[in-house]
Amino acid sequence: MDIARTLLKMKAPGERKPDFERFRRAITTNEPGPVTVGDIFADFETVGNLLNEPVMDYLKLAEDPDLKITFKDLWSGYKYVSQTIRFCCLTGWDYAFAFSAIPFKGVSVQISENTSSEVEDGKRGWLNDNQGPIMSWDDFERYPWPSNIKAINAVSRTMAKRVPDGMKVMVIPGGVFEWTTWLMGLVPFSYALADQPDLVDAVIDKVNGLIHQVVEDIMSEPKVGGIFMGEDLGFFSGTFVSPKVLREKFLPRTKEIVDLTHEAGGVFVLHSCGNMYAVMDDIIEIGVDAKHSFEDKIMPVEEAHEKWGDRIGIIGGVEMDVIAQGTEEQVRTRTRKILEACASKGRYVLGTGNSVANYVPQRNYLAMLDEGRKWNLENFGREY
Amino acid sequence: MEQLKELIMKGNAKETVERVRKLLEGGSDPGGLLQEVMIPAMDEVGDLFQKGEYFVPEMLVAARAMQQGLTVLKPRLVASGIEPIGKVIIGTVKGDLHDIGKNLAVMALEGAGFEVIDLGTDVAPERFIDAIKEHKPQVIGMSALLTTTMLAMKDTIKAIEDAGIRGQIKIMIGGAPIRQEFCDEVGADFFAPDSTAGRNYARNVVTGEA
Repeated sequence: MDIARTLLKMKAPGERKPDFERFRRAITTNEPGPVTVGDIFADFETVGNLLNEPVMDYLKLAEDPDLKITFKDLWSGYKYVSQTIRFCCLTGWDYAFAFSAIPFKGVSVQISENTSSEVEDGKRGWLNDNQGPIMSWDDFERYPWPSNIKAINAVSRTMAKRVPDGMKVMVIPGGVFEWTTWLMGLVPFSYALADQPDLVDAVIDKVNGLIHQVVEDIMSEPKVGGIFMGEDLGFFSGTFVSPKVLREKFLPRTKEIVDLTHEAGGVFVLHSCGNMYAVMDDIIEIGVDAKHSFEDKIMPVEEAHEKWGDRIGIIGGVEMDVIAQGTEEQVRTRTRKILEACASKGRYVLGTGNSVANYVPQRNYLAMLDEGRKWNLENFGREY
Repeated sequence: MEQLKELIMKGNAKETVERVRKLLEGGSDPGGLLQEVMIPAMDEVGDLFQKGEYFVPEMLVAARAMQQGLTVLKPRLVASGIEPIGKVIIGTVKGDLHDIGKNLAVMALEGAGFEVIDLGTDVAPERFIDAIKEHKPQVIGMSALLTTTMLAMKDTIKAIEDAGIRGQIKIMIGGAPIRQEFCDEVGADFFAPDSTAGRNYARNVVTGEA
């Protein structure tokens, strides 16, 4: 902890207070001010690495198909809540992130080793695009749909009760498109769009209904600030499915969740990788407050901010390739360029191009944060 | 003939099979059906995908129709002595399990008349080398999703060089984090930004234009 604080040049606890309203202002207004920081999440290993202590490995639990949770797991889970809060406080986030992932049984995840440059036991889960637990009406009828909404929200709720004053929780429930394609498998889902569109609609309705319940339940917590929906709609050259299908089948459902979040006083942030810009205007139209995840190869964040930064908050954009493999100097240069172009005009939050993944070297993540503080000091006379 | 092209492009597998059967029964030349109708149909699908008018589902259902049509056509092609236009070995590199992009490339290449040996995902350099020695392809395709796993491409190319077989093949690479600079740095021959570009490059290799 002390090492991390030294590296981060953090002030003593209590001097720099998290303030969720600062984050809300940063994504919903163009008011000038010091840039704040955030991402959709940090990997478990990243949190552990920064705090220099073990953090519960959820991937290991997910490897067990029967998911037997022991008392030790429960204790580690409880500890994980405070570890996440400490990570977010130390790194200067105004919110803590919490997963309210719906435990859809049978979603096919394969685990691979050695994808991390930063931690010894780095692992990564990969979805199997070629199959899913619901590929037919029979599968659909027999599927054990999760129903215990309180259990799904347990970690998020615990976190909301434990965050320090000023901080709120951004809850990550997963998105309608992602869960639907994961449940069906991207390839069988693609065939079903042509062969069994009614099955696709039925899965979407079920998924959306569950996300709706999860969001409705968790947004009743006063210290939940909003929803950070992970919903990858695109790949390098375009959206996975046509904008027409997104407009007809998915975006209206997402709008329901956006509205629900707003009615409860929260903000709605969409994390969407890939070239999904064909529907960017639609995303703005349905009321999304901010968009996260940008890739230089597709559209540098500066360009996105220039195009849409007066209508929607823009979060992150420090290219993953640079932050994962670049030198500290390269990270600082890229960060500075983004700050000059985006933060100076407002409606921008500093962050990575995707997430604080376990393969992001700690020194580079800290360099990005430090550059943000330097920029704040130069432009506003204070670090935060 | 035009109807068959339409059926493939729309991804209507059942009717594609029926149409191929009827055309063959009517005396159509199997090689002509492949070269003049089915491959141009998949070419057009690939071009529409590249232009952003077709998306992953449209590409997948068209490839499915093509593959099912080919199951009817293949025995007649073999009997007529018609061979694939070339051979490609493809795989997702070691440490990486993502395969949708690689699978789209396989479909585009097969749709263009190539024989494709798909090594799957998490392919170690030795497996690429063994496959090159066994199948003697003209082109190798490597895919990666992550900025960390793409580094395995460099190791694989180095291993192919060390095995003394680099001169026998052209290497194309693709995937979300790949750029031209990386392609140059690791010594690959071609960066394929999408499956259609990969298909076009492989064609150029077998015709001697690349």
